[in-house]
Order: sequence, then structure tokens, then C-alpha cells
Amino acid sequence: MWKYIVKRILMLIPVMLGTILIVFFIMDRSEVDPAKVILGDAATEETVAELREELGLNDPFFVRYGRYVLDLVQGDMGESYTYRTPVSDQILARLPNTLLLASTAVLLSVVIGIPLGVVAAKKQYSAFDNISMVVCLFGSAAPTFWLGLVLVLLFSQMIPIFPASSMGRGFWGVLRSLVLPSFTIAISSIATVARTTRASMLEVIRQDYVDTARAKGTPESKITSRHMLRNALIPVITSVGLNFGVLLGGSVLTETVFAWPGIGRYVIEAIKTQDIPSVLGCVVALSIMFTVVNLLVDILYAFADPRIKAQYKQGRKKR
Amino acid sequence: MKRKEREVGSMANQALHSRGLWADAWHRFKKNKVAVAGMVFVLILVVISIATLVIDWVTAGEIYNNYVTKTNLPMKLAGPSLEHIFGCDEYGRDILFRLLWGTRYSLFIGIVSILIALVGGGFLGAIAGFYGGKVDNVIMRVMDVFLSIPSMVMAIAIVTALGNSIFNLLLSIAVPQIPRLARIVRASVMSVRDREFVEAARAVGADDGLIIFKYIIPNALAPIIVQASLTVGSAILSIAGLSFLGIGVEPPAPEWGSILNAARTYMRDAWHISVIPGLMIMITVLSLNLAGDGLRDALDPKMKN
Repeated sequence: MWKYIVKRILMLIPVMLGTILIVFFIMDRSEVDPAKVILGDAATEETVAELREELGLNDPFFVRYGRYVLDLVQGDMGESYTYRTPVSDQILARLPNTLLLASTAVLLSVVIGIPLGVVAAKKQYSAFDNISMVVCLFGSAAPTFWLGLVLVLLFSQMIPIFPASSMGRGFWGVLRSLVLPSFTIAISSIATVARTTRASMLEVIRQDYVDTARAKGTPESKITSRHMLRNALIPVITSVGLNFGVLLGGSVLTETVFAWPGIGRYVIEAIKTQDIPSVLGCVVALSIMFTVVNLLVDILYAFADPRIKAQYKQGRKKR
Repeated sequence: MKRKEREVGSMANQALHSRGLWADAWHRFKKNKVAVAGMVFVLILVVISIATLVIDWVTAGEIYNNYVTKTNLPMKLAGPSLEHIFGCDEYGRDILFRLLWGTRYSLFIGIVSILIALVGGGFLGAIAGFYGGKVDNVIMRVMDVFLSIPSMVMAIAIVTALGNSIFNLLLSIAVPQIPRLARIVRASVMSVRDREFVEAARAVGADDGLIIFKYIIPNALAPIIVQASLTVGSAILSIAGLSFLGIGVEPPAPEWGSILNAARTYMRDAWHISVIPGLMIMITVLSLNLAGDGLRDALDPKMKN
């Protein structure tokens, strides 16, 4: 088991280097000249050229990439043009807010999506099943940011119970302001998780071992939780993990709608002021978050699926 | 009595004449009412975008300039009425007109970007699946790296760096989808790669390119089409998202997402601006998804749960 985990963590390194390479390459296509942005419009050609040399902007692409990675490893992501402070500080200040929002959304999609899928599958073709699956179809087709707008209209303007924007103070304040944005992000993944759970449960429900368990007189609740859900869970874990990327992308939109002080909103601000190091830093941070979550999902997988665990035990237990 | 006999006879005849994969799939698709409804709605949207383009061409942009983009301040933020059934936006422009004229952006960008992704992903996936081994390993690991960047985040990075011309927008939506389509193409190429007809083609001396494009791809097409049609919906969501953030299609073009971007400021006074365009996006994506699901069930009944 440990061998598997270590192997997966080591595989993370080339993936991250590749991710940063792609992002760095894309941002490098930008026509914005950092030296000009730093010096402002009044600067002469000469001083711009001097600063370009000083910043190492004339170096070959891979030299600059290597330098960026080395700096990044030491926690340095360059300096924001607008704030004149290290990008890493800006990101670290906002990271907890984005993580809070994203993890609440994941929690919601698991806590609501899985039971919804289980009940829908157990009562296949019932009114509950049909209605909830239609709602899920709509939920996964609606644009995230629009759901945010609609929730604000409903629960902040028509019935003013939750704040429409920014983050509250204190535990209850934060919690109250978390409700609308986290639901906004979660709705589409609740829909996906519920549909995946339902489909996967339906496959398990007719298995012989379920009949066996029932014949033995196992209580129905235990059959559902032990015999069905546990076997149905593997595709669900995959869908939760894959959804996290959609969710992070959604957080950029949702944070903009709700003026939530996270990385997503920061990246949009930075785009508007052409603050390239900040955009680069945010994109790298979001991608690293996604990669780490995918790793966690893969490890979780190994715990949920004994077949994966068995692959790594074979070497030791050869009878 | 006679008629019934004839019917039975024709049914038997039908069963004898095998219909071929596509006719067979169409037959099954037709029976799926929900999927047909989705497809009909998508077709209506296609007709709307072509019709508005033709109108612009015939009237030399007169309607576009006078009704879709021209400000009309007396009607500013007017709610839905008989004259303007969806109301007016913050410049007094009729929302129904803007929605109709905006259809082309979502459909065009959604479909063309997925076609680009299909060509790119299809090429890489076909090579990986056909040759296997090291080539496969290298291509798919690179695709994995691309997959580890959330698609919306990559789209934002591309648009920021390259600017938001239509071509760059297409690219920003297409690139994140390339690895997803490459995976599908690879899997379906692998599933037919070792079949007899490929061996036969090789025996008569066909080269690899001919084998891949003439024999393998056409036989591996069904899952690829399904996946592509399902991805168009998410491409439309992405383009709406980018426009909503103000980095997609530039105003005053009536792209659905950019109508919503403007709507945010006026939410307190005019709910209809923020609700109606979103409903339009949702119904469009829903129809595409339903049609895509129907296509999947029709092409591969085994995949239906």
C-alpha cells in the first residue's frame, strides 16, 4: 500500500513540471511587456531595454522556465505588478478562502448527491426518481455563474436571508456568506454525483450477492449501505475527483459573482490589470490544487477498491 | 385481414434487410422522444442562427444595428411587456432580439471549437491507439498533464495571453478538450485495431495512414461522435463563462454570457435581464445533452443502463 502511495507521489513531480511548463508557455505568448508595465508609459526605450535585461526577459524560454520552477520551489512566484508585493503572499492570503469554498462544495455534492442517487436507484422509475433525475439534468446544464445570480435574486433580494456578496466576519458570518456561493458551485456536481451514484447503484442492485444477503435475513438498511453502496462507490469517487476541476473553474466564476476574496477573483482582477505574474501564479496554484486532489482520489481509490490494493500485495504474499 | 398480413410480411422483410449501423441507430433514436425533442430544439437554434445571418446579409446589417445593438434609453431596463416580451436591457435594447442574434455565437463557437478539438484529439488519439507502446505512452502522458489543468482555468490563461479574437476563443475552448477526445479516440481505435479487416487491408499492402483513416476511424466512429456531441454543451458553457467574466466575446455583440455580465449590475431593478439569457443557455445545453445521450443509447444499446 505504501509503495503505491509513494509511487503516486513521485509521479506527481513530472506531472507538475509539465503542468507548469504548459501554463508558463501559454502565458509567455502574451504580448504584454513586463518591463513596460513596471516602468509605466513615461519610460524611455533605453530604460525598458535595461530592465528587460535585468529581469532576464531576454533569456531563452527554457532558461526562464527553469528559473521560474526553481523560484517556485522556494515559494517565490515573482512580484505582482499592481500590488508591488510577492505574488505568493497574495495567493497565500486568498488560498484558504478558495479552499474553504471548494471543500464546502465538495462536501455538499457528496452529502446531497450520494443519498439522492441511492434513493433514486432503490426506487427506480418512482416519482422521486423521475423528478430528481430531471432536476439533475437541468442542474448540470445550467451555467454556474447564472445559478449564482438566480440564488442571489431568490435568497438575497426576494427573501433576504443570505448576503449577496463578500465574506462575512466571525464564524457565523462566514458560514452565512458561504451558503449561496458554495451551493452555486455545488449544484452541477451534486447533479453529476447523483446521476453517477444512481447508475452505479443500479448495476449493483441486481447482483447475486445482494439476493444472498437478503436471503440470509440481513436488514435492508445494512444491505444498502454495506452490500450495495460500498461496491457502487468507486465510479462515484472518480466522478467527485474529476468534478473538482470543474468546481475550481466554477469557483473563478462564482467568486466573481459573489465578490468572494479567493484566488478565482484575484485572477480576474489580475487579467484586467495585465498583471501577468499574478495570473501565472494563480493558474499554477489552481492546477497544483487540482493535481493534488487527483492524487488523493487515486489513493482513496486504492482504499475503496481491494483489487488495486491486491495488485501491490502480490509481490509480498506469493504462496 | 389482408392488410395485416401485408404488414406482417413487410415487417419480416424489414428484418431480413439489415439496415446497417447508422440507419439502425436512427431507427432507435427516433423512438427516444426526449432525445428527439432535444435535437429538434438544437435544429431550431441552427435555423435561427442561419436566419439571422441571412437577415443581416440581406438588410446589410440594418436590423442588427437598429434593434440589436442600438441604444434606446427611454426603454432602459423595461420589464417584459407585449411589445418586448422578454423586456429590455440596460441600454433599452430588446432582449429577445439580442438572444436571437446571440444564438450564432454560442452555436458557432461551441461546434467549431469541438471540431478543432476533434481533429487535434483524434489525430493524437488515433496515433497513440494504433501504434501503442512507446508512442502511446508518450502521447497519453502528455495528455494527462493537459488534463491536470482545469479546463476553465486553461481557457482563461489562453485568452489572457493571446487576446480574445474569435480564433483565440475557439482555441481556448478547444485545447482543454483535446485530451478528453484523444482518450476516447484512442480507446475506440484500440478496440478495432486487431480486427480481421485491418489485417486484410495490411495484407493487400495498405500503408498505415490509409489503414487508420480509411478502415479504422470509420469503424470506431460511434463513441467518438457521442462524446463530441456531449462536449459541445460544455463548450457552450465555457464560452458563456468567459464572456460573463468580460474576457470572451466583446460587447456590444449579444453573446448570451455577456448579456448576463451586464445584468449583474442591474439585478436589483431588472431581474429579467439576469434570468432569461441564463434560461436560454440552460435549455440549449440541456437539449444538446439530451440529444447526445439519445445518440449514445441509439448507437450502442449496450451502454444504456
